[in-house]
Amino acid sequence: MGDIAFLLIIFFVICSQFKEVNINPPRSLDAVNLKSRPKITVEIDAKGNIYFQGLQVPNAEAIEWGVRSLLEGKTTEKFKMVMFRCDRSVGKDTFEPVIEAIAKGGGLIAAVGEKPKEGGK
Amino acid sequence: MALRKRRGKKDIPTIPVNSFADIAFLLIIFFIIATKLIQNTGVIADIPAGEKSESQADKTTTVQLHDNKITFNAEDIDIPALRQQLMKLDLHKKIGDNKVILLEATGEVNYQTYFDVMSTISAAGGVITIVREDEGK
Repeated sequence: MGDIAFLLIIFFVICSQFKEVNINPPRSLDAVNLKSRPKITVEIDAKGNIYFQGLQVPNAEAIEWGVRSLLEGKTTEKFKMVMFRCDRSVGKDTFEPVIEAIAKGGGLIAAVGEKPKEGGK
Repeated sequence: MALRKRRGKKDIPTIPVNSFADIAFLLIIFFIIATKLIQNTGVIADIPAGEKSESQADKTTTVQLHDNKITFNAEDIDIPALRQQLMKLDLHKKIGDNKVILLEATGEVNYQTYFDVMSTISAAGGVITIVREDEGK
Protein backbone atom coordinates (compact mmCIF):
# COMPACT_ATOMS: atom_id res chain seq x y z
CA MET A 1 0.00 0.00 0.00
CA GLY A 2 2.75 2.41 0.94
CA ASP A 3 4.67 1.59 -2.23
CA ILE A 4 1.63 2.26 -4.42
CA ALA A 5 1.02 5.54 -2.65
CA PHE A 6 4.60 6.67 -3.21
CA LEU A 7 4.48 5.72 -6.86
CA LEU A 8 1.30 7.76 -7.26
CA ILE A 9 2.85 10.80 -5.59
CA ILE A 10 5.95 10.61 -7.75
CA PHE A 11 3.80 10.26 -10.86
CA PHE A 12 1.72 13.35 -10.05
CA VAL A 13 4.71 15.44 -9.02
CA ILE A 14 6.52 14.67 -12.26
CA CYS A 15 3.43 15.22 -14.40
CA SER A 16 2.73 18.62 -12.91
CA GLN A 17 6.21 20.00 -13.59
CA PHE A 18 6.04 21.93 -16.82
CA LYS A 19 8.61 24.14 -18.39
CA GLU A 20 7.67 27.73 -17.57
CA VAL A 21 8.88 30.54 -19.73
CA ASN A 22 10.74 33.00 -17.51
CA ILE A 23 9.32 36.47 -17.77
CA ASN A 24 9.29 39.61 -15.70
CA PRO A 25 5.65 40.69 -15.78
CA PRO A 26 4.69 44.36 -15.97
CA ARG A 27 3.16 46.06 -12.97
CA SER A 28 -0.11 47.93 -12.81
CA LEU A 29 -2.45 49.07 -10.07
CA ASP A 30 -5.38 47.76 -12.05
CA ALA A 31 -4.32 44.12 -11.96
CA VAL A 32 -7.10 41.91 -10.67
CA ASN A 33 -7.23 38.23 -9.86
CA LEU A 34 -7.84 36.34 -13.07
CA LYS A 35 -10.60 33.96 -12.06
CA SER A 36 -10.07 31.19 -14.54
CA ARG A 37 -6.80 29.72 -15.72
CA PRO A 38 -7.11 29.84 -19.52
CA LYS A 39 -6.08 26.74 -21.38
CA ILE A 40 -4.34 28.66 -24.15
CA THR A 41 -1.12 30.47 -23.33
CA VAL A 42 0.95 32.86 -25.41
CA GLU A 43 4.24 34.04 -23.93
CA ILE A 44 7.00 36.41 -24.98
CA ASP A 45 10.28 36.32 -23.07
CA ALA A 46 12.80 39.12 -22.59
CA LYS A 47 14.69 38.11 -25.74
CA GLY A 48 11.57 38.38 -27.89
CA ASN A 49 11.00 34.68 -28.43
CA ILE A 50 7.33 33.88 -28.87
CA TYR A 51 5.91 30.75 -27.27
CA PHE A 52 2.51 29.21 -27.96
CA GLN A 53 1.39 26.54 -25.48
CA GLY A 54 4.99 26.33 -24.27
CA LEU A 55 6.49 25.71 -27.70
CA GLN A 56 8.48 28.34 -29.53
CA VAL A 57 6.93 29.71 -32.72
CA PRO A 58 8.67 31.88 -35.34
CA ASN A 59 6.17 34.70 -35.79
CA ALA A 60 2.81 36.20 -34.88
CA GLU A 61 0.98 34.56 -37.79
CA ALA A 62 1.55 31.17 -36.26
CA ILE A 63 -0.12 32.50 -33.10
CA GLU A 64 -3.16 33.62 -35.08
CA TRP A 65 -3.58 30.22 -36.67
CA GLY A 66 -2.95 28.41 -33.41
CA VAL A 67 -5.47 30.48 -31.48
CA ARG A 68 -8.03 30.23 -34.27
CA SER A 69 -7.79 26.46 -34.45
CA LEU A 70 -7.94 25.95 -30.69
CA LEU A 71 -10.91 28.28 -30.34
CA GLU A 72 -12.97 26.63 -33.05
CA GLY A 73 -16.42 25.93 -31.79
CA LYS A 74 -16.03 27.83 -28.55
CA THR A 75 -18.77 30.33 -27.87
CA THR A 76 -18.66 31.50 -24.27
CA GLU A 77 -16.20 34.12 -23.10
CA LYS A 78 -14.75 31.80 -20.51
CA PHE A 79 -13.51 29.39 -23.15
CA LYS A 80 -12.18 32.09 -25.42
CA MET A 81 -9.64 33.34 -22.90
CA VAL A 82 -6.04 33.37 -23.96
CA MET A 83 -3.43 33.95 -21.29
CA PHE A 84 -0.85 36.45 -22.53
CA ARG A 85 2.39 36.63 -20.57
CA CYS A 86 4.97 39.07 -21.78
CA ASP A 87 8.17 40.42 -20.28
CA ARG A 88 7.92 44.08 -19.38
CA SER A 89 10.94 45.12 -21.44
CA VAL A 90 9.73 43.72 -24.79
CA GLY A 91 9.37 46.33 -27.54
CA LYS A 92 6.13 47.06 -29.37
CA ASP A 93 7.42 45.65 -32.66
CA THR A 94 7.42 42.23 -31.02
CA PHE A 95 4.30 42.25 -28.87
CA GLU A 96 1.88 44.33 -30.92
CA PRO A 97 1.63 41.81 -33.81
CA VAL A 98 1.13 39.04 -31.28
CA ILE A 99 -1.70 40.88 -29.49
CA GLU A 100 -3.32 41.60 -32.84
CA ALA A 101 -2.91 37.98 -33.89
CA ILE A 102 -4.65 36.74 -30.75
CA ALA A 103 -7.49 39.22 -31.29
CA LYS A 104 -7.83 38.21 -34.96
CA GLY A 105 -7.91 34.56 -33.96
CA GLY A 106 -10.93 35.32 -31.83
CA GLY A 107 -9.29 35.14 -28.42
CA LEU A 108 -10.09 37.28 -25.41
CA ILE A 109 -6.79 38.41 -23.97
CA ALA A 110 -6.06 37.94 -20.30
CA ALA A 111 -2.82 39.89 -19.95
CA VAL A 112 -0.78 38.85 -16.96
CA GLY A 113 0.64 41.56 -14.76
CA GLU A 114 1.47 42.12 -11.12
CA LYS A 115 0.31 44.64 -8.62
CA PRO A 116 3.10 47.03 -7.76
CA LYS A 117 4.99 46.02 -4.63
CA GLU A 118 4.84 48.24 -1.54
CA GLY A 119 7.09 51.25 -1.88
CA GLY A 120 6.56 52.05 -5.54
CA LYS A 121 6.94 50.28 -8.88
CA MET B 1 0.82 -20.85 26.99
CA ALA B 2 2.95 -17.80 26.75
CA LEU B 3 4.78 -17.38 23.51
CA ARG B 4 8.18 -15.97 23.80
CA LYS B 5 9.57 -14.17 20.81
CA ARG B 6 12.74 -15.87 19.73
CA ARG B 7 15.57 -13.41 19.31
CA GLY B 8 17.91 -15.27 17.05
CA LYS B 9 20.88 -14.03 15.08
CA LYS B 10 18.74 -13.91 11.89
CA ASP B 11 16.25 -11.40 13.35
CA ILE B 12 16.68 -8.07 11.50
CA PRO B 13 15.20 -5.00 13.18
CA THR B 14 12.59 -3.44 10.90
CA ILE B 15 11.26 0.09 10.57
CA PRO B 16 7.53 0.23 11.24
CA VAL B 17 5.96 1.14 7.88
CA ASN B 18 2.37 1.47 8.97
CA SER B 19 2.39 5.28 8.86
CA PHE B 20 4.10 5.61 5.45
CA ALA B 21 0.78 5.53 3.63
CA ASP B 22 -0.56 8.35 5.80
CA ILE B 23 2.51 10.47 5.08
CA ALA B 24 2.13 9.72 1.37
CA PHE B 25 -1.48 10.86 1.31
CA LEU B 26 -0.60 14.01 3.20
CA LEU B 27 2.09 14.81 0.63
CA ILE B 28 -0.33 14.28 -2.26
CA ILE B 29 -2.87 16.58 -0.67
CA PHE B 30 -0.17 19.15 0.00
CA PHE B 31 0.96 19.24 -3.62
CA ILE B 32 -2.60 19.41 -4.92
CA ILE B 33 -3.38 22.37 -2.68
CA ALA B 34 -0.05 24.08 -3.37
CA THR B 35 -0.61 24.09 -7.13
CA LYS B 36 -4.09 25.55 -6.72
CA LEU B 37 -2.71 28.40 -4.68
CA ILE B 38 -0.54 29.79 -7.50
CA GLN B 39 -2.73 32.78 -8.30
CA ASN B 40 -2.51 34.71 -11.48
CA THR B 41 -3.14 38.43 -11.47
CA GLY B 42 -3.65 40.44 -14.58
CA VAL B 43 -6.01 42.40 -16.76
CA ILE B 44 -8.58 41.22 -19.25
CA ALA B 45 -8.31 43.39 -22.34
CA ASP B 46 -11.20 43.54 -24.76
CA ILE B 47 -9.64 43.90 -28.19
CA PRO B 48 -11.98 43.26 -31.11
CA ALA B 49 -10.76 41.38 -34.15
CA GLY B 50 -12.56 43.31 -36.86
CA GLU B 51 -11.23 46.08 -39.08
CA LYS B 52 -12.59 49.53 -38.36
CA SER B 53 -13.15 52.10 -41.07
CA GLU B 54 -10.96 55.19 -41.19
CA SER B 55 -13.82 57.66 -40.75
CA GLN B 56 -14.10 56.72 -37.10
CA ALA B 57 -10.56 57.84 -36.39
CA ASP B 58 -11.50 61.51 -36.12
CA LYS B 59 -14.35 61.11 -33.68
CA THR B 60 -12.98 58.35 -31.49
CA THR B 61 -10.97 58.99 -28.35
CA THR B 62 -7.32 58.25 -29.01
CA VAL B 63 -4.48 57.40 -26.70
CA GLN B 64 -1.10 57.67 -28.34
CA LEU B 65 2.12 56.21 -27.06
CA HIS B 66 5.32 57.60 -28.49
CA ASP B 67 8.65 56.56 -27.00
CA ASN B 68 6.91 55.66 -23.72
CA LYS B 69 5.18 59.05 -23.47
CA ILE B 70 1.41 59.02 -23.30
CA THR B 71 -0.75 61.47 -25.22
CA PHE B 72 -4.51 61.64 -24.73
CA ASN B 73 -6.54 63.66 -27.23
CA ALA B 74 -3.41 65.57 -28.21
CA GLU B 75 -2.24 66.47 -24.72
CA ASP B 76 0.56 64.84 -22.76
CA ILE B 77 -0.64 62.95 -19.76
CA ASP B 78 0.45 60.45 -17.12
CA ILE B 79 -1.26 57.27 -15.95
CA PRO B 80 -3.26 58.63 -12.95
CA ALA B 81 -4.51 61.60 -14.99
CA LEU B 82 -5.36 59.27 -17.89
CA ARG B 83 -7.37 57.11 -15.51
CA GLN B 84 -9.27 60.18 -14.33
CA GLN B 85 -10.00 61.36 -17.86
CA LEU B 86 -11.25 57.93 -18.92
CA MET B 87 -13.43 57.61 -15.84
CA LYS B 88 -15.01 60.96 -16.74
CA LEU B 89 -16.07 59.51 -20.09
CA ASP B 90 -18.22 56.98 -18.20
CA LEU B 91 -17.46 54.19 -20.62
CA HIS B 92 -19.18 51.52 -18.56
CA LYS B 93 -22.55 53.01 -19.47
CA LYS B 94 -21.85 53.34 -23.20
CA ILE B 95 -22.46 50.62 -25.76
CA GLY B 96 -20.89 49.46 -28.98
CA ASP B 97 -18.70 51.93 -30.86
CA ASN B 98 -18.93 54.57 -28.13
CA LYS B 99 -16.80 52.39 -25.92
CA VAL B 100 -13.93 52.26 -28.40
CA ILE B 101 -10.62 53.79 -27.45
CA LEU B 102 -7.97 53.83 -30.17
CA LEU B 103 -4.53 52.88 -28.97
CA GLU B 104 -1.67 53.91 -31.20
CA ALA B 105 1.91 53.06 -30.36
CA THR B 106 4.84 54.52 -32.25
CA GLY B 107 8.57 54.63 -31.71
CA GLU B 108 10.15 52.76 -28.83
CA VAL B 109 7.40 51.58 -26.51
CA ASN B 110 8.03 48.85 -23.99
CA TYR B 111 5.43 46.41 -22.76
CA GLN B 112 5.36 47.90 -19.24
CA THR B 113 4.01 51.23 -20.52
CA TYR B 114 1.70 49.54 -23.02
CA PHE B 115 0.35 47.28 -20.30
CA ASP B 116 -0.22 50.24 -17.99
CA VAL B 117 -2.27 52.00 -20.65
CA MET B 118 -4.14 48.81 -21.62
CA SER B 119 -5.08 48.08 -18.02
CA THR B 120 -6.17 51.68 -17.40
CA ILE B 121 -8.44 51.62 -20.46
CA SER B 122 -9.83 48.20 -19.58
CA ALA B 123 -10.47 49.21 -15.98
CA ALA B 124 -12.39 52.25 -17.23
CA GLY B 125 -14.56 49.95 -19.34
CA GLY B 126 -13.14 50.84 -22.73
CA VAL B 127 -12.81 48.55 -25.73
CA ILE B 128 -9.31 48.83 -27.14
CA THR B 129 -8.69 49.06 -30.87
CA ILE B 130 -5.08 48.91 -31.92
CA VAL B 131 -3.93 51.31 -34.61
CA ARG B 132 -0.95 50.10 -36.62
CA GLU B 133 1.29 52.68 -38.21
CA ASP B 134 2.19 50.76 -41.36
CA GLU B 135 -1.34 49.82 -42.33
CA GLY B 136 -2.71 53.27 -41.56
CA LYS B 137 -5.91 51.85 -40.05
